[in-house]
Amino acid sequence: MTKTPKNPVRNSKLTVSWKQTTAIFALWMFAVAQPIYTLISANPTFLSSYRIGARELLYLVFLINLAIPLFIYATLYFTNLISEKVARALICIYIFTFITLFLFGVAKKLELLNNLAVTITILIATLITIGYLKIYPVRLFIHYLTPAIFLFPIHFLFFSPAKQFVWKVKKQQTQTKTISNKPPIFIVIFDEFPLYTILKDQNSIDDTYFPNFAKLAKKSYWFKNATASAAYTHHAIPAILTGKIPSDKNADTAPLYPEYPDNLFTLLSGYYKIYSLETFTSLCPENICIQITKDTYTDFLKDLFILYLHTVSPQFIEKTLPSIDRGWKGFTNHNKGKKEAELFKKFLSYIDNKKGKLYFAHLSELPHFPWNILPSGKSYNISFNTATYARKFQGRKAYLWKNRSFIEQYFIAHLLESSYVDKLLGEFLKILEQQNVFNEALVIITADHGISFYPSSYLRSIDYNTYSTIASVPLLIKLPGQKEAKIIEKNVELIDVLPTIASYLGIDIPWDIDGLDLLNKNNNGHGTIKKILNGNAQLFTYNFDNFLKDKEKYLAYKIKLLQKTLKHNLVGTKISKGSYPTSDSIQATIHNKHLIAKIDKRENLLPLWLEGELFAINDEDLNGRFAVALNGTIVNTFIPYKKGARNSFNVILDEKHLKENNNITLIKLTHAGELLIVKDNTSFYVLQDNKIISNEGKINITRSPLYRGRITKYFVDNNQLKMIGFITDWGSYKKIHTYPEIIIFINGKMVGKVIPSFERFIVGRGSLAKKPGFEYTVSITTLEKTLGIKETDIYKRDERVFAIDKSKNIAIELTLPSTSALFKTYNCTKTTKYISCGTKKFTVTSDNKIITGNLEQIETLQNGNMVIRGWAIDKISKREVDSILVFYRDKFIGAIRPNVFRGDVVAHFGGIESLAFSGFNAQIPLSQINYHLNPSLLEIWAVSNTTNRTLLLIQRRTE
Amino acid sequence: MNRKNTRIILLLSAIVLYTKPSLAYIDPASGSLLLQFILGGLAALGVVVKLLWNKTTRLFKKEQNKVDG
Repeated sequence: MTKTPKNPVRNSKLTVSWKQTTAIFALWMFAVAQPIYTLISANPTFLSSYRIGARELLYLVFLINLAIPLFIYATLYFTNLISEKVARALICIYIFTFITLFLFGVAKKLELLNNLAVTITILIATLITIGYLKIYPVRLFIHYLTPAIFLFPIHFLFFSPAKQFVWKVKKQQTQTKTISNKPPIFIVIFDEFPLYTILKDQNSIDDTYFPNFAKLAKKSYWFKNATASAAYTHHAIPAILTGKIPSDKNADTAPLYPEYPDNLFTLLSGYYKIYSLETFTSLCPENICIQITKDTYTDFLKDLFILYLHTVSPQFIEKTLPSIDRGWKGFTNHNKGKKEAELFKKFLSYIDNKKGKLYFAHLSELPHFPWNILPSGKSYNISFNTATYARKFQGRKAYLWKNRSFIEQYFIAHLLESSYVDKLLGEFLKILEQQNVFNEALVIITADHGISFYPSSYLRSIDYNTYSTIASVPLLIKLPGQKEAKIIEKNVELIDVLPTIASYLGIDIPWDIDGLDLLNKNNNGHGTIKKILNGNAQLFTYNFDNFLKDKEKYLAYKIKLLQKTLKHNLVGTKISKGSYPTSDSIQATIHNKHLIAKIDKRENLLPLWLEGELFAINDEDLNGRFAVALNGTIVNTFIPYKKGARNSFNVILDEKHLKENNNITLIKLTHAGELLIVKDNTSFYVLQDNKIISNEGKINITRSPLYRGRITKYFVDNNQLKMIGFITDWGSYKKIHTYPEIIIFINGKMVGKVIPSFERFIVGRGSLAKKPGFEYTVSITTLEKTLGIKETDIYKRDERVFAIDKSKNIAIELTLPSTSALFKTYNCTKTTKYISCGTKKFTVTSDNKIITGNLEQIETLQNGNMVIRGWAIDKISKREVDSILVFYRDKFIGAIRPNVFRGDVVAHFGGIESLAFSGFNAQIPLSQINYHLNPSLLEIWAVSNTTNRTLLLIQRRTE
Repeated sequence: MNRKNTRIILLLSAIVLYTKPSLAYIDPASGSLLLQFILGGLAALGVVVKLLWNKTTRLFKKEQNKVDG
């Protein structure tokens, strides 16, 4: 350690001293610690979802305020032992990093963290860091921030909302009354599970997907008009367990025992041994409940770190982080539902036949978004990236469905996971039967709230479109000894569960409740005007009579939705080769087809989610519905959706039809009721935003030093587009062992591909050099018919050719013949008799026996350029003219050299081969000309050095 | 400072210091910067006082030196 100067603050020389280090700690507090403290104070539900208590919070403060700062000090100390210079640099790095993070946090708060703001912020942070090194008041200011090291944690633990996790503990209820009847009680609450999901019609449960719900309903009270009291779990579960309507006044209260000490657990703690699987709330204290399990502290820290990164990351980084706005925890865990199912099975193993036991399970991820579980319990590759979009709803962000296409497939996903929930219910009922407790048990099955699948509606925010689907939930109550089904149409709510249990057991509830005893025949249900708490803590009021009508309407909508997809009358139809005609105009590519082509059925992750693109000359051909057949059987239908200019689709396949080797067929259902097989172009590439997307993923366009290649000839001859070129690893011997695919795009559409296959003796020495040449020919008629590309499009020079090396996932762009480009290396002037270019002077002629040619295309393109195409020859020398000069009135714009192959010109002049490259086509960038161009004022002149003549080219049909 | 600038400063302060009601799920912008700003303000005040103090004491020292000299 170096000798510390007397006052390191006044001294501008950086040294590793305690005072210097405390300044870094202070910046750490501002940049990292306090943002974390305030973030979790503002979101106490995050803490409760991890069942965080005083101990865990103190660990956190210890980690943030002591362990990490000590680590920082240790890095400085040991670096200093090795090199003072490096240690000083490290101090600067720490200071710069923490100032940057703090400023990022502020900019983020102001919603200003775009690319410009990032640059400005980094600049300011650099200036402050330099200021710290050079300017005494800046250094002094940062040193004066050191009280933060103590103030921030003290504020967090003693004065922030997080204090409730540390200090506020209320005594549990004690019961003195004895009860003789203590049947085993089982309560299972699912999450985001609306009633209409399980219904076949208004009065029956769909026993195809939900046989166990249907079975239980046959021996239960089914309260078919039961409603949830809140749209979100952190309000809904406390409402069920306390019997009280959630208030909009304490809407940000975390679902914690200290906040809700009067609840079902504390009420029954004197009578029942309680087994609890609370996956989200923390309402049962550990001294009352046997908690089945809980998340690890590392999981909590991992999520906290991701939350923090979201608070300081610029937009372009935030996009790459795991999403945090679709759940309370487990941001990196993509299979939360499966994890919870395993926990539930563990929970079931605690069930025995002894009386006086209460089993409570709330499964917060089942059948919750992102619905990636199949009825078999396996997962699949569903992706949710683009299905929804966010909009401000009552001042805050809420998600809406993007389009009907997504709704259909995601509803199926929801249905499949819900069907798995039914399977779990079946396992639960089986255990009850095996343990011989089903008959004597009080069983309550419900869900905390629903979800909406209405077009253009919010998924979870309540308005007049969605309230009936979010409020309506299943509620089945089986009383001990019950043998018959009873459908109850009363206006009931989930807050009635607690008073119903208490009443059945004969226990008084020692606090005020809003719920009613459901089994009391004198109880006629709640009033007509009902309320449900929205996610943004505002109460939404609705009329029960309207609710019944809307509920009915929604069920009809759901039934129709299924009839269009999984229950479509074509589902189950066999499709064999040649049984239906193939569509002329539609082609498809399935991006993840390679995943399903050959699979191991024992895998737990199945590739049943297909994503792809559809292509047609006219987009109208893609309107309407498509079906998908897996191994020859139609399993589902879908409608494509627009993704920019592309027509994309997502569709879920049926696990039942999956084999080891699979084939997929897409079928267009025409308006006339015909079925047309869609041609599957498996190696289709899409060029979008300067990126190539293949059916196997994204390919990077790069300039690889490994490859050399170009297109040497590119022309139209005899209604055929021809392209000749080569690709080799010239100069990088034997590094390339596979020939790349050459992919041709015109107007952004892939027109074809070719593999190098013939010798080009002029091309050098690499391992590809043996056969580097390729030639591609396609009929213009085919291009027009299949892709809508006309001959005139080809001359617009919007073609791009890539050599794609799949083994390296790179695409190398090949240059096209470029001599048709407009150049202006000299200037020309024009009079009525002559055109002069430098020292040369060309006499104007109109004699077609000296120079002849044709201007075939002169057209303004959408990109702002003007395309000029034609041919011109010098009849005396029997070859192409030397240049094509472009004038705008009398102003010279540039010259073009003819170089385009014109077989037709050769043929027209009796097979004179020297006329082969007499064609020209070039684009004039109008922006460079700097004035508005009137095409009629353009003059195109052909000039010949041999005859010193020049001819004005005009458009005419034929020579 | 004119009225327009005052308004802008008030608006920015409101945005920075305001703790948003939490989203349906977690909102990364829901934390508050209030405490950091208060402490930062006090530190800035401390710097001003310290610099003024130094200036004043230096002045006295100079006077003292003059008297002593």
